[in-house]
Amino acid sequence: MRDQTAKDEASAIVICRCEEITRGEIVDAIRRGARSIAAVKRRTSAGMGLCHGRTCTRLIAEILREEVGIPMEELKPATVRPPVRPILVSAFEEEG
Amino acid sequence: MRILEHPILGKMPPRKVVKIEMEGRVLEAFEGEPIAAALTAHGICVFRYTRVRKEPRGISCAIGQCTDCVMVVNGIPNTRTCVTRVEDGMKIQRQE
Amino acid sequence: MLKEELKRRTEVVIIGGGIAGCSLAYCLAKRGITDVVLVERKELASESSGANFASVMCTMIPLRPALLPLYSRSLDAFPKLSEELGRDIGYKTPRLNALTEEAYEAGEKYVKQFEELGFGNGFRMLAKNEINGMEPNMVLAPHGILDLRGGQVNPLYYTTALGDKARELGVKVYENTEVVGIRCEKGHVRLIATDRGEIESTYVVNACGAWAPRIGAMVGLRIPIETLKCQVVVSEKLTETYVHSGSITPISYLLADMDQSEGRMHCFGLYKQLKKGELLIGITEEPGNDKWVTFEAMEALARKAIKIIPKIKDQNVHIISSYANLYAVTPDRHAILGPVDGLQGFIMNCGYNDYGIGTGYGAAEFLAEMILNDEKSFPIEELRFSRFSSYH
Repeated sequence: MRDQTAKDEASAIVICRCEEITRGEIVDAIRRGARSIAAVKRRTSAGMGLCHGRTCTRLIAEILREEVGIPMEELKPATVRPPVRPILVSAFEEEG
Repeated sequence: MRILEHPILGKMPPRKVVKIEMEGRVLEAFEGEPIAAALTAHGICVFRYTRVRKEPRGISCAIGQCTDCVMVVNGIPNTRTCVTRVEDGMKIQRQE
Repeated sequence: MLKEELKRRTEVVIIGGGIAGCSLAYCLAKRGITDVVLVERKELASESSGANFASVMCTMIPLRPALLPLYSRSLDAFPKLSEELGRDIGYKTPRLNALTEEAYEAGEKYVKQFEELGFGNGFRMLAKNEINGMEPNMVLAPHGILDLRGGQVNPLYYTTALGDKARELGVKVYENTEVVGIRCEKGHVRLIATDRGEIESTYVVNACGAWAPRIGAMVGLRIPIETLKCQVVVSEKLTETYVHSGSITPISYLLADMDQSEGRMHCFGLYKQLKKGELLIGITEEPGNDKWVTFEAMEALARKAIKIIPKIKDQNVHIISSYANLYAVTPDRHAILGPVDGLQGFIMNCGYNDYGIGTGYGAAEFLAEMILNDEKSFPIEELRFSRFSSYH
């Protein structure tokens, strides 16, 4: 059982680096009812930043497993949508 | 990040020295190396501060996935400096 | 992981975990009606309610008086909901609708009608070019209507907050649970059959959005809802403000009224900038029932945005993401709310076209009161299902 200081420190760790979402916010989303990576994403925006969840998805899965016991195999990543990499809006402009 | 002599690949062949500009400072760099490598060689480790928590960010994954290292390069924000090559006359700025 | 055992008997079953279902669950729970089960095939806000254009709005042109009470009650609630639900739902005002010179008279007429119906204090005509002062980065028609209390909300935070709060107050929320049948006896609904078991209930609410007809078929009803696919692209977070108001809509969208007779994709220039700074660049509409984002749509949206917000090109703004959702479109563009004649206990809470986020809460207040007071009909006649057909 962690003591309170360690717990507070753990809560402050940034999990989604792009959106700056902490472990505490993710645990809060889980306590409110999130039971999947997508459900955490909807409540916190974790995974909605520039890297589309490449960095945080696995970490969020681990937190879900730690907090509510869902096995990793059951946790599927949230849907990633195009574009895979940022595209300049001007890249779509008409030629000429 | 600059490897000048590698145990398997051998010695780095000579490369052209070019100049890039980072917020008023003119820095020498090797043409074609990642921008992040050039900045690191000059002792610049903090590439930006995050918007909400004002935390420093620099090289993290170094493989173009995490978007921690992004900077404004030649006016284009969110450019990944760890996978973008140096060109002569490049202008680099920290982004908000 | 073992799933929770289903509650076998309840007072109200709500089928659907989008804005309609979650709003109703919360509005019932806060009135002390907690013997409620919400059943959602996937997860809360996983469909249209979690992938829309984030608008707090109600149809303005043409004016739909029957919808205004729903909108009005929602607008009364929005400023306090963040505190009530314990979650910042990202509510930001106002909503601006741009109007061309030709459309000015029509706009004036509508604002006057709003006043006559008692909603006038929220809407006003802007003076010529006033809109340009309010949105200096945008190329807009010279006139406009201001909806003071409309604007934007974060639909994901909003919908999940309603559902989570309902759960906290005692409503049973069963996600990943699909309704496969509904049993009725002697003109009463009796129970729903799910892929995890049966639940007996006095009331069964159809809050299934684009899938409402599927639930209707289970009780022998033909619900005239068709889907329209809407696509949006999203920029990275921007420190500079490109869109000042909560929401900006051009005249062409107000007049379109989702007329898709040509059957092809239309692109309207609607814009929002969310609290964290990302631009929502919308929207395209086309007949369809899938959620795949197309290159055609991204290209059309980007090109239109450059014309209306030229700065996004100069400042090298990127598109970093996109999404699509399905509108549930009814033939008369009015929602379908309330009980169904001849089938006691079955309640409609669907057909929200493009104003579900803006009016869903108000509709839920009316429905919750109706259930609480055991009333037999929905107070707004134009929204009743009986306008289509009777139970057969």
